Amino acid sequence: MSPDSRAAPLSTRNSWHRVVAAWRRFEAFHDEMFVAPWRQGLEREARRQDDTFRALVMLDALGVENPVAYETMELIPHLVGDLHAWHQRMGQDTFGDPGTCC
Amino acid sequence: MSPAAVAFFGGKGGVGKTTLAASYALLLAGRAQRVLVVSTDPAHSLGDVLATPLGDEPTELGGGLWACEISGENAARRRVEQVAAEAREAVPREVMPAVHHHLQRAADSPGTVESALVDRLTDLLDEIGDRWDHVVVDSAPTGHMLRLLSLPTLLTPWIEGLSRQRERARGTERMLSGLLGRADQGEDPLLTRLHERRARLERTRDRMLHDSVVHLVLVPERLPLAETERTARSLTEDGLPLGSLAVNRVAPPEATGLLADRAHREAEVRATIHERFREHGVTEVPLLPGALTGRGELAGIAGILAEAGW
Ligand SMILES: Nc1ncnc2c1ncn2[C@@H]1O[C@H](COP(=O)(O)OP(=O)(O)O)[C@@H](O)[C@H]1O
Ligand SMILES: [Mg+2]
Repeated sequence: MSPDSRAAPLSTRNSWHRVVAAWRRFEAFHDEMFVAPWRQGLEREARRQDDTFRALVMLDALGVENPVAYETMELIPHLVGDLHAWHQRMGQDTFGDPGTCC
Repeated sequence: MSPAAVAFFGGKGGVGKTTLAASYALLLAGRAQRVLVVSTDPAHSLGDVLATPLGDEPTELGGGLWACEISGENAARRRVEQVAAEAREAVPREVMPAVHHHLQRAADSPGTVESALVDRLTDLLDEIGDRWDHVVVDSAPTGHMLRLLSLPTLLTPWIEGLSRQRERARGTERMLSGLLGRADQGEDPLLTRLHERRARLERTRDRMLHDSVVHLVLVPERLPLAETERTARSLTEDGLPLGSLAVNRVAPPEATGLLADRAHREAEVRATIHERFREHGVTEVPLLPGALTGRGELAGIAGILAEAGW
């Protein structure tokens, strides 16, 4: 502890700043080491789940008979918007008959 | 016991389903009930039997009776138009051609016409207690009716599966949003719609299982009997309640000549029918003269049903 009564808060402040800076560095490190890969994994997982759902609703477009085509008709406008990105992810450059997508 | 809210009339083509359905509807209406009789047979003849033109919207015929002829094709077409109209408000214009393309595909899908028919029937069943007390369904020949009755049960788990998949996708997205400090997107319109569809299907399934009765109609001949027994078994397996059987066009036992011959041949089959279907009740309707169209003529058949305890 410093004998200077005015230096004490200052040094406390300094050490506080040091701690915060260290914490930030650690956070960045932690983020890079653990969170980022996890987030990427999660992003991949979210996309995979989304693609699975889209494929289930648009079975007809994949040439598979869809027993609930009538029931899920009103989902179609919500799903065709990003259809192009989807079929490219599915590894197909073009998709379906003319008019289906691109 | 008050009769079930919904009565289906089923059986082979030409056995008398439409005639008996219309007569039964008249009978119920005569008991101060509000009754809708609806034809689901793509080859409609209800309008002919009631001697009045009918369409998709119920026509009030007076005396507590309404009637209509519904079509899966029309219902599917209307739905495509409705979804497309909603989409025009909601999605960018350049996406619309793709929307139309996929909607058309859904409309052409093999199960769509039957699903649309069930959907239209659901609208009418949903008005029980409000517009009418009973709905009498003049069905298409057997196979078609069985599919229609089993459809809600078949489709419900499929919709449930889709909802689960959507929930899974949304769960992962939400986790990701939390991680990135993004705001939660709130309620998912797709999930909301899936839940609505499931609720609709479940409502109709429950009504079919718990507040309906199926009256099978047959003529007293050996082959129709075999088919009726198969249909009865299939309905029972699906948990659908079987009501009184109607044996239609029974030759009068006191007949002479050609009809006497026929009556003699029918006797054995009728005995078998009574034995096999005793627990459900068996009502015989005689072979009647005349055209059997219009309320006056149908009243006679309604009287026969009333006498048999319907
Ligand atoms: N009990 C009956 N006696 C005489 N003819 C009948 C009787 N019931 C029905 N019909 C006639 O049989 C034909 C077929 O009847 P319909 O009710 O149209 O059968 P479905 O609806 O099963 O095809 C019609 O011409 C009808 O008038
Ligand atoms: Mg008919």
